[in-house]
Amino acid sequence: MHIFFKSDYCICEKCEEKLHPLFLKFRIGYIYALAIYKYDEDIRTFLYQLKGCYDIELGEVFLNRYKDELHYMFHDYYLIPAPSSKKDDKEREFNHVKVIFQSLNLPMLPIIDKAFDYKQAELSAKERQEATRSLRLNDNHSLYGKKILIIDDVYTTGATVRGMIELIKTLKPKKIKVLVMSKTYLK
Amino acid sequence: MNMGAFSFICPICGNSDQNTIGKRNGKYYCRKCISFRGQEVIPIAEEEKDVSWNLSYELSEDQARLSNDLLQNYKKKINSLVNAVCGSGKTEIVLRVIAFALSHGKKVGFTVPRRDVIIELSDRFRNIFSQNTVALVYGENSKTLVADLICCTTHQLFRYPNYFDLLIIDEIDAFPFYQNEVLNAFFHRSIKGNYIMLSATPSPEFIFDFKKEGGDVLELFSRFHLYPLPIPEVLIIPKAVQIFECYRLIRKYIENGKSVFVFTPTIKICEDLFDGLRFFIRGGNYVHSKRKNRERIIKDFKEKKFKYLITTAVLERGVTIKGLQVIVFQANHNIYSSYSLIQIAGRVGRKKEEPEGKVIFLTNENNNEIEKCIRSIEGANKNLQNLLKTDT
Repeated sequence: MHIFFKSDYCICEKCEEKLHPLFLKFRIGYIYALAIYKYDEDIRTFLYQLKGCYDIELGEVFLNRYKDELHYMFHDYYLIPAPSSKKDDKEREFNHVKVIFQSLNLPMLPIIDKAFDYKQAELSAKERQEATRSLRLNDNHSLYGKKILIIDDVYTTGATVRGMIELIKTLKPKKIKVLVMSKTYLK
Repeated sequence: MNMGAFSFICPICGNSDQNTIGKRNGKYYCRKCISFRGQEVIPIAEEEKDVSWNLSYELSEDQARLSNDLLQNYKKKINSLVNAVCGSGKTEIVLRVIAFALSHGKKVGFTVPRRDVIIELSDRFRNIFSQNTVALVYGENSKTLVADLICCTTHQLFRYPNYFDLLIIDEIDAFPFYQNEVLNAFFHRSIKGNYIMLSATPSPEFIFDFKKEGGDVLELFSRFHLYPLPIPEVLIIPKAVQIFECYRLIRKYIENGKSVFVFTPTIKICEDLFDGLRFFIRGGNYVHSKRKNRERIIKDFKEKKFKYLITTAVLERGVTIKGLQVIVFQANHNIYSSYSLIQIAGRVGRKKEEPEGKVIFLTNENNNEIEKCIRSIEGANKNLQNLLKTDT
């Protein structure tokens, strides 16, 4: 169906079958969050090819189908991407979170980064909580009166997003929402 | 991606399809072979080595003749294709060439598309070439890359660009190597000298192309114990009744003290069938490509800890078990080609002590692939009978 309405549609039917959009609404404290996909085996392989094999062309695939809808949904928001390890970004020559969400065509403010590099996948839930202390603001941006959308690729324990919310709250924005590409799904 | 008149050819896999080429920061890259990254091995000149190989049994007349032919071809630098029926002992045929090449300080590799098969083969090579080192390389096991003899899956060949003086590839018609351009490109990229292909079911077109390129085709139509290949029995019954028939057959075989493989078309059917049978017949297990510890389950099965094993097509090739009986559940399913059915039938009677066994296809209709499979097995058996007549 989408092929007829969107000229720059870039997924073949076979790969489209592998993506199962969930549009899961949940809350982190008082903040509304939206996850588009369930983090399953297929999303994992796609993300691995993007992050591990540096396949930048895959970046558009995830949000391609809903980019217009998401653009209107969040049209007056500013995007703040979750930080990733600088060393990895340098090696792969791009930031995967930015690449995934750049098709939304919204202003991006990469104001949060990590004080030191760590790999989240290797840490347990408790260690992740502690590791979020290393998040910091890289300059004193004024977010007063702005609407903020926090974006990330995978939401597992929510440690990073919670840490980012705490930091952004100190800058007193008008509103904060969270949009994640995929969320691990507990039975 | 559309790039107009400009075209980019991947230097690694030779891919020139512009739809699978991406652009990153102004540089073009190939998206087809992008997942094959890792440590590559640079060849170092090696000295001549002492090589001895010991087999606990002797080669048959045909095997000895073929292994001699292969050695002559290798000396003349001709590529060879061995077309031999299932269970004819293809692995034993190449031992002599391997020993010859190793003793001259050449780089020798053995590669198979399937992981389970290469694990089993590397164990055999370790016993046979007990003096030399054997490296086993597959997806999760890539610490030691260099040894006298390298056993790897076809996916790992990207680690050895222009490396092997002699590369032997088994099961060329197996998934995922068959008709996969990237893996084929890596195969040709890793060869410096010559290669030998082994197969039980090469397609006629493939043989034709191979001859055209100047290769030599060697044929072997008899198993080493000179018993005929088992011809599958086809039972045409409805799907629901197949489960009961399956149950009855497994019961019968277990009472006679035989071990049984049941081949199922998909992972879901495999699990469902096992869930249905486990309460009625104890002492079984199931295996499919996503099951963890499947190497250990297969090993336990060989030691007769399990009486029957329900499996998908993962075990259709390269498995040798004494006194095995085979049942194929839903043999008319469209994943089974005639070649894979021949391979499945070839699991039976591979040991000299028990050269006969039964293959039973459970199906609700007789289709083209099943008929093709039976016809080609009968053809091979006819060839064998002619051979036996001329001998006596």
